[in-house]
Amino acid sequence: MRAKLQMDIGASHLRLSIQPSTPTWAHRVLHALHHRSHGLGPPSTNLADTDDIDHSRAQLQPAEETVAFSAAGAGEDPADAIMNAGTQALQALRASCPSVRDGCSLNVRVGMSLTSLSMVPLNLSAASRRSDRQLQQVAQAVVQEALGADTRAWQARWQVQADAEHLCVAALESSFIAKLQALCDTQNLRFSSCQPALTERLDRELAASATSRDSRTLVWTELDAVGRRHAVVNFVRVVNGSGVNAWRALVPSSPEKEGADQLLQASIDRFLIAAGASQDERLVLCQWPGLLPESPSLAVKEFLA
Amino acid sequence: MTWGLIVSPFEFAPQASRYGPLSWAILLAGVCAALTGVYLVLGANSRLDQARSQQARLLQQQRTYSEQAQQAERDPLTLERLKAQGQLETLLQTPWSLLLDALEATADAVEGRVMLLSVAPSVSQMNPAKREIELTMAASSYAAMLAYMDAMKEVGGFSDVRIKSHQMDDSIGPAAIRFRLSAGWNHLKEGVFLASDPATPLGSSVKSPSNSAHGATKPSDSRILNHVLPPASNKGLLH
Repeated sequence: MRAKLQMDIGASHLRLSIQPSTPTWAHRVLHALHHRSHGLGPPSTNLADTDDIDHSRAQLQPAEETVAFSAAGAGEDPADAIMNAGTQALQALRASCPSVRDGCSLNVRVGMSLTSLSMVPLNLSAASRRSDRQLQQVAQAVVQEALGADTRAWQARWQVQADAEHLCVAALESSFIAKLQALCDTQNLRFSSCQPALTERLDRELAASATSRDSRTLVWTELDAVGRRHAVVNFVRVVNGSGVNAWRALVPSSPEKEGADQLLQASIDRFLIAAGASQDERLVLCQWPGLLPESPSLAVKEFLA
Repeated sequence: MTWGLIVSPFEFAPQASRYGPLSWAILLAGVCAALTGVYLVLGANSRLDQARSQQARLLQQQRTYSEQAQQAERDPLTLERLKAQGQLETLLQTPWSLLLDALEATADAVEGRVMLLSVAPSVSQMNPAKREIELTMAASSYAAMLAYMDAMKEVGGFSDVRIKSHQMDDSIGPAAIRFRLSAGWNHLKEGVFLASDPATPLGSSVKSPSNSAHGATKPSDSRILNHVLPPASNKGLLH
């Protein structure tokens, strides 16, 4: 049973962890048969009995390595800095955890400092307007307008929202994906997934909003190298299970005094006004990646409460 | 890890699977169902082929029988055998009960003693539709013998009644005559052995078996080929 590695790439930190994998029933049966064929009796519940069990315990215990990187190094590509941090984290994890072997799969979640997310109003009610080719052209146009870059340097993915009136477009730099693939090839890992971290949380909010038929705004922040809020802030407004607005803003972190983040609050207010939402709109604050061991509390929640 | 049908649309990994485990499970189930369907169809085809081959075999067999029958019609020996078989089947269909009833009624209508010793029905070689009967009888006198012959002529079912031979037989009784008599009987009227007078059917004057001339119990089996009275029971009957 090979371990699954989870790599969370934030604005200034990279966290590599082993996803705790619970043995499936097939593995349990094979384990029991192995014990019976070797005359070991029923599988022991004492995890310290055999090396095999120790190995299972190591698999079940989540382990993680966090490495900080500086994307603003002199002349260094931020993607290279991230890859170096990833290599360091992998080496450290391999040293501490024997279950990290060749062939493990690597899932990558990328923070919004490296990702572009847009919500485009479109009439997509007709099936003829939802062909992959048309949507791809729309997505490329959105990426070009949002980033002002050559669309060939970016890869875009899209999703038609439930109301068929909005198209969510996410883009990631092609070179960054290629470097992640190269890292996996070098480390003999299987590059099994790479998704923007926000979309995973956004899916949960969309489902919750569709159930409760309400509107809410997701405020997505990340941490910088010194543990304060990173300047890149993303807002996504969700109404009745459909994303209707997305906004990316550069909001410098306020000097820490009394735990307040006035600049972020002002930015939220501006977004709510621009989106036509009321000031008492439900805010969902998400600081990602959470639970970094050395990161100080940003106290955004306390500030916004 | 997404367990849904399709992995997140925001998947950027080049080698990532586009479909979730549920999709593969459904695909696997579909493949299994398709294989099961193919297996069932192949099995049904196999059974259909077997049925067709069996049908062809039966047709071939039937054609062979037909050819054999046609060949048999052209072969004199086989034709003779078939004729004999037909005659045998005809004899097996002799209405013994009615025939014996008619013979007994005829004997009762004759003055003097006449006793039936044997009955042998046969089918004409020339005309299979024509049936004949040959009787061996014993009479107490010539007059009784002639009277019996005349009485048989009166019976509607018999025709062409004639005496083939006669001889004195002292073992039966003094002045007793054993004679052989042949007659034809129309199978088209079988079961309708009537006297010439329609008002008095012979069947109605039949005595009970215990009072009959030959004194033996009538055989009721319709599959009797001929009928012979036991010799021991003949002795002294005409005395």
